[in-house]
Amino acid sequence: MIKIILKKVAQVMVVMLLISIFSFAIIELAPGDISAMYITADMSAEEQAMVMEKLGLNKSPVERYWEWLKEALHGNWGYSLSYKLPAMGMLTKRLPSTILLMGTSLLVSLCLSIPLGLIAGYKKNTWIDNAISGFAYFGMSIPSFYFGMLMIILFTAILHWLPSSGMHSFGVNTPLDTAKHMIMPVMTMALSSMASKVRYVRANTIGQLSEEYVLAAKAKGTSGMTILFRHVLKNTLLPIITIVGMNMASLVCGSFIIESLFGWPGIGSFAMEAIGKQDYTIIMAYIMLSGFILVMGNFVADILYSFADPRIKRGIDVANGK
Amino acid sequence: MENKVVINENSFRRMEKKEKDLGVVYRRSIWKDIKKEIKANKMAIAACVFLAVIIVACLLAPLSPYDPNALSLADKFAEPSLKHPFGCDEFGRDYFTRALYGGRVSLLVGFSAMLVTVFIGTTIGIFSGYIGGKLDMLLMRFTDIFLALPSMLLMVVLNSFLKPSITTLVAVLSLFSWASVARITRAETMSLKERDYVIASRNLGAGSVQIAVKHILPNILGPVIVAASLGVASAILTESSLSFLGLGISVPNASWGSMLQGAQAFILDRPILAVYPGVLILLTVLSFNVLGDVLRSALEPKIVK
Amino acid sequence: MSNTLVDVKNLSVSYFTYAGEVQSVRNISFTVESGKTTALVGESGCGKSVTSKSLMGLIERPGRIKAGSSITYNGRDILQFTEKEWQAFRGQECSMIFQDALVSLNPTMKIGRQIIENLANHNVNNLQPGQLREKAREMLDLVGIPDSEACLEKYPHELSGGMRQRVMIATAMITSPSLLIADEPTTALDVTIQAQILELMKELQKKLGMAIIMITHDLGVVADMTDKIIVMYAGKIVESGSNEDIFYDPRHPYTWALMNSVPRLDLDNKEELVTIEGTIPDMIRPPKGCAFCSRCPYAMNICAEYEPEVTDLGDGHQVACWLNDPRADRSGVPFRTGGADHE
Repeated sequence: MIKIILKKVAQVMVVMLLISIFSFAIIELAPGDISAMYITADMSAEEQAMVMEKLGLNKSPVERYWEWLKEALHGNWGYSLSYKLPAMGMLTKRLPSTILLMGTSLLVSLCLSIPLGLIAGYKKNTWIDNAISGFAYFGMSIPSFYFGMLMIILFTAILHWLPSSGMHSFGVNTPLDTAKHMIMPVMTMALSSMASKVRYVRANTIGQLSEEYVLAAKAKGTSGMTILFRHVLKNTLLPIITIVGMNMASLVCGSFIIESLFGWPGIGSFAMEAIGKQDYTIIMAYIMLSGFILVMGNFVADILYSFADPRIKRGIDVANGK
Repeated sequence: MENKVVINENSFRRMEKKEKDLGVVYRRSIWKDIKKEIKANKMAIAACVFLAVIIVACLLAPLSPYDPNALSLADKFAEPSLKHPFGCDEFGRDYFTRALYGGRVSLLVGFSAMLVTVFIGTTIGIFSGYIGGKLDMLLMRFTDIFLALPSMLLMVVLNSFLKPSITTLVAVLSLFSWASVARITRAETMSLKERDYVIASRNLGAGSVQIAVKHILPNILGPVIVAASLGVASAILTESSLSFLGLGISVPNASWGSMLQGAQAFILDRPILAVYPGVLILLTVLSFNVLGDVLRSALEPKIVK
Repeated sequence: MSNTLVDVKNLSVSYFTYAGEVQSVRNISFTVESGKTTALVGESGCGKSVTSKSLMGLIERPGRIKAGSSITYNGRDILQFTEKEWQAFRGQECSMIFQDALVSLNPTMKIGRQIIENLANHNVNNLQPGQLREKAREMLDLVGIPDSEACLEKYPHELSGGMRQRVMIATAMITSPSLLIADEPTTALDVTIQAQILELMKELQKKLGMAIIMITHDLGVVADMTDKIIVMYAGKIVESGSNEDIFYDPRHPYTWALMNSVPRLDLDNKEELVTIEGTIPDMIRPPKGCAFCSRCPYAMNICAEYEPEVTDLGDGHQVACWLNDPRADRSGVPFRTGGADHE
């Protein structure tokens, strides 16, 4: 078990390193010259050189990457070019609201997609299945921002039920008010990740139902619904753990677009702003932070999976001579 | 029953010669399977018809009497009418014409990105799977990393620095989606190269390239076709997201995604402007997804309904 | 006299697929006697598993039992059962053992729970959880699993193939059913383990007195275990009779070939093993004459045109083959044909 975890940790570190190189390279390739923001025409050549040195722009990209990495490992992610504040600090300040949004939509999508997928699989090719599968098709085919826009049109423009933007109404700070602000972004985010999960649970349920152990359970006189929940559910849900981990990607990226659309004050909308301002340190820190959330999601899912599945757990124990 | 043979002396003679019953042979041809599956599925027919209409309409866009970018303040926010079926936008541009031109961009980006993705993915996949060994390991680790990258994020960052154009969009989209195609084709190649006919052909002196092109490529066609159909869907979807964030092709040209970005500003006053391009994206992506699923089930070996 | 437990009459089962209607079982009739072992023998695809599933009400779409079929169990017409009645019947009256115990056991559920499930479904004596568990442990002892207490807490993948099959048997037998259907119970096992499992089944039958329907493609497996053998080919019964009838006096070329395709130790002959050329016919378009005609070395012209009628040879020995017609050309046929059994 420990061996496996260590191997996974090593993998996480390699991926993070590569993400950092990748994003550093992208920023390096960016056309705009960072120094242009600090150097004005009336500066002397000496002053210009000083600014360049201060910004580290006189060194080679490799050297600068190395320096950035050393600093980053010490927790220093650089200062925002536009706000002149520590980049990571600005992001972590906004992280809780993003996590609130991501966590809630993950929960909502799980609570809805598992029963829907199970029922669709159990009632394969009936009208219920067609309705659920149709809904899943809709969810995976609609751009999430567009679904969000439609919600705004319906609930804000036409019905005036829900606020379209932000996290709090002006001057109000109650959980109920926040919850009201959350409904639309959460639903929007949940929809797209639900679609893939419903399809996955459905396909898995159908696959499990055709397994021979289901026939054997039937031959014991177990009823269909009992088989579904006693036998099939667990075997269907095990792979879902991995899917949830992979879903972190769509949540992280989804938060980006959805936060911008609904004006949610999280790290996604902040990063979007930073891109507009070409604030490289923020972008870099944001990529690393969300890359980390993503990779950790996969990591935790892998570990959980090996704990949840008796075949894997015992297999490892046996391999370790326990 | 049809004419029964009369029982006579001859009936109890030993049979002279018997035609050998070789059992049942199920002949399979990819295109026949696909055609049959699509014909049997109403959703698939609807998807095909819709895509055909959309593609033809977008190709015929220049026949429209309006210039998609011509401003006409007199027609600002014109309601839908016979003259302007979708109405006009905030600059009085004919929205129907713009939607057709936008569709050209969206579809062009979708198809080109799919082609590039499939080309890179299949090449790397076959190469990696066929040659195997260290090279395979190296390429697959590389692929893993691309699968683990927060792609949407990096696409946004990359696109924000590059000069937005159709070419850069296609390049960026393909860069982040070839990896899954490579995985699929590699797995197929690995299993195919151990088949007897491939081994036989190798023993008969066929070169690697010859085997890859003649034996492996045709046999991985199925999964690649499926990946291609789903690939168009996801490329159009991602393009629309990028355009919506203002990182798509530049004004005054439009894609469906950037039309939505424009419509967002008037979402509370003129929600109808957001409906047309959005529904077009939804239906197009939906059609490609349905088609991908139908293709997948058509190419799966099965006899049970 | 033994009394009839199961009476199958004119059973036809078809699967409705893309390609067409696959007629898996075509109008077969047979009986199973209480406390006796009946074997259904035939190649894969001959309809023997479908027959057994019909007895358990486990035919699922796209399969369908066709109108006109009837299966009577202890005087009750089970084809008219409601889902509730089926649930009470399965496991309680009639249990089933499957070919591959590894896939027939739920991989993520402990052995104990899987055995208890059967008993708990039909808890006629209102046993408490502790008692149920004790019963399960006793059952594991009975089927010869060492350290039964520990076994209850194990997962299927932690047991060997033979042990898993024993668990399957324990699960099936825990309710003391009157009928046990064993679908190729030993096919997935090594030869030595096969013998052990068969021995176990015989022993249990002696102790508990249930009837067994043994489904197999291997006549060797059933040789010293059965009271009655039914040979199926292409969804039809070609020959049925007692153990002696089938082994020592086969009247159908298919039975004869099947018999001689099994290496036998009891006969001291140096004959070569017989192979049956060709494959079973397409069950979507079954041949109009005898289904075995295309593979039969003694086929006559009539065989391709008319289905042979069932000839009763007395003492329950029945055969459906034109060679048993007095007019048949019997030259070169290596086994006895025509006339009654015991002349």
